[in-house]
Amino acid sequence: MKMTEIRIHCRGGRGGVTAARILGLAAVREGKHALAFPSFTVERRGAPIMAFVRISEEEILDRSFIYNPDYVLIFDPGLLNHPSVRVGVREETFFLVNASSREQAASLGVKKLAFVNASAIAHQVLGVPIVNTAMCGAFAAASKLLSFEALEKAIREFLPSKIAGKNVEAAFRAYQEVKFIGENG
Amino acid sequence: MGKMGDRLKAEYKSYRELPITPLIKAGISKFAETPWHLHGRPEVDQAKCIGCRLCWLYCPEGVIKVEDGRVEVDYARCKGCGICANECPVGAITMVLEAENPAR
Amino acid sequence: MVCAYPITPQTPIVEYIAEFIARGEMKSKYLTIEGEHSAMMATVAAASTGVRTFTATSSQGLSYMQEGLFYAAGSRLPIVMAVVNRSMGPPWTILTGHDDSIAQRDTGWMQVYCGSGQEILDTIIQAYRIAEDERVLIPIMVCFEGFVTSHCYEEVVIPDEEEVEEYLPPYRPAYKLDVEDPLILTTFAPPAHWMGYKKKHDEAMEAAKKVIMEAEEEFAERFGRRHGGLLQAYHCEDAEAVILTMGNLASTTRLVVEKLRREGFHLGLVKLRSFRPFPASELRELLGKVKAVGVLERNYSVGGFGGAVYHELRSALYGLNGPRILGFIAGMGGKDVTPSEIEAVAKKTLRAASGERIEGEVEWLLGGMA
Repeated sequence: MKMTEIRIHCRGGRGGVTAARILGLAAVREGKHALAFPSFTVERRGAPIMAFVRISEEEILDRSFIYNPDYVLIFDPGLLNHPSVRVGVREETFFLVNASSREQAASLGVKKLAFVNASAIAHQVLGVPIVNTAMCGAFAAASKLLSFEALEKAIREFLPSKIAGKNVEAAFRAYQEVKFIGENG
Repeated sequence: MGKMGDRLKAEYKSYRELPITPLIKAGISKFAETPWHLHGRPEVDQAKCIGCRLCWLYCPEGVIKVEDGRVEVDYARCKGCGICANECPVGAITMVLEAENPAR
Repeated sequence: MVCAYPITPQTPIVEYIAEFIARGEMKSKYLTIEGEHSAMMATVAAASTGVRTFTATSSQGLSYMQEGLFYAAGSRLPIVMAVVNRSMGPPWTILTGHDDSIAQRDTGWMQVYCGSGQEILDTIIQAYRIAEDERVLIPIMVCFEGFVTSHCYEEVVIPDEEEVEEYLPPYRPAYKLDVEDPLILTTFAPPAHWMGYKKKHDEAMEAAKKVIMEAEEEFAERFGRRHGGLLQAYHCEDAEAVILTMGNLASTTRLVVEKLRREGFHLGLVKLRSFRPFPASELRELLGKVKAVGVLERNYSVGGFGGAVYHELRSALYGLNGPRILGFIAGMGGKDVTPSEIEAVAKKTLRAASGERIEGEVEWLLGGMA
């Protein structure tokens, strides 16, 4: 399998970095290799941030940032028009976005696209606007790179037990509710 | 290699004999006599002494003993700093210059 | 005893260890302290009583403890310290660069540079073996990049505690502070002796090379993992050009070397792990017959004419009629170093190996800012 490179766009303090770590850990629990790391700017709550995940069947040697992602995950609909989400993307780059509607997601105007209303799921299941676990669930379903079992394991390992159960629930709902648009749909 | 915890020797034939870092058994001042007294020898007027032990407390070298109301100074190890004379509340200690070790 | 003062990006190390100790999972005292200078001096004091010690710092914190670094090394105390490399400000940054620990090169500590979570863990375990060996007795910095390595989540195999204890027997200090047998430590050395102590320290550094390799061999035997000891060489046997680098750049460089090898280039890689002791004779042996070496490093001596590794490699190979040596300054202040940049470094070094005239000895990889 070739290496898969994932770039997450989120806002500081909203769980993007944790999502990267959960995805990486899920891949490791499936026997793959993974690296997960943030984009290392001076963090400010609410500022756009990026986090990176590399997943591969083989040992990962490339320890530089990710410039040409295979997957772009946008956690905040407010970032859909942010220039950073388009940097280095190719025609075959797959976008997974948190959007309240098909129209909002489609406004991105890319070929390979899926969306999930992760904000609604987070609000209903968790009661807080943290969409990271829902986005992880949607990613597992949309990419088919990770099984839900591995993702659940990773969430339970990573989050305090008090909140892990609800987060698994949020992930599972997003896993079921993610919808493809355009070429994939 | 020099044996750990030994006192440093006065002379070494080679750096190889040195310990890995300079180490001295504590209490070296017991062996090192200092029969020179910078500001003179502290002489105690036992009649004036009130036995308060401030000199004993302040002596940085620990060479003052107070026993049975008498103040004893170990002149072989006293450095003649004069702190005891300065601290004595009743002026019972005088720094006396020595002919063989004139101060300054 | 663990005593450390938090500084980004070293903070999680301190937090995790404090938690391990608070939960009783790690049998150690934890000392909270008011700054790095005190942290190092308290670590020196604790180590002087004959216990195993650990501390960690980064950049400005490391420079703040500099007096203590000399104290630890001159006292020949086998302290292990993690240095999470971050460039020295200003210009202000919290991001990586090896310039912080390279600036402490002459403090008399050993310095090993790592590039992955597994390598760091394994090297910390080995570091105690090496530092505490009676042929060595020198403190050691285990250095690795801030954020790009320190905050990279990846798979790490955690060895079994009992196995580690077998590999790393209890520390038996050569000397210690003891109320039953009081000592005055690290006292005045007269002029006739002072340089002798330094000479002994230097000889112990030389001896450490052998100890580092022994520690590596036994570690590989027991745990089945190898990181190279002093250095790790890839494809150097028939290489015409070699890239020499430290830390996580070696990982990305390996990718480039493997790619260019497939394209038919005779390219090799040396991952320099031990900067102190500097494996000069080992590098002479390895690189003496190579045609060109490109040194890729995350530090620079302003007003000098290259980075520290570049200077030292040139020094080590001087007079051999050996390779052309090119310097590449990269990855300071958090600047990313990409595979394509490294490929350009490799191609330039290959051109030098083929005898092409190259203008300038040292190139700065400034990316879009060139």
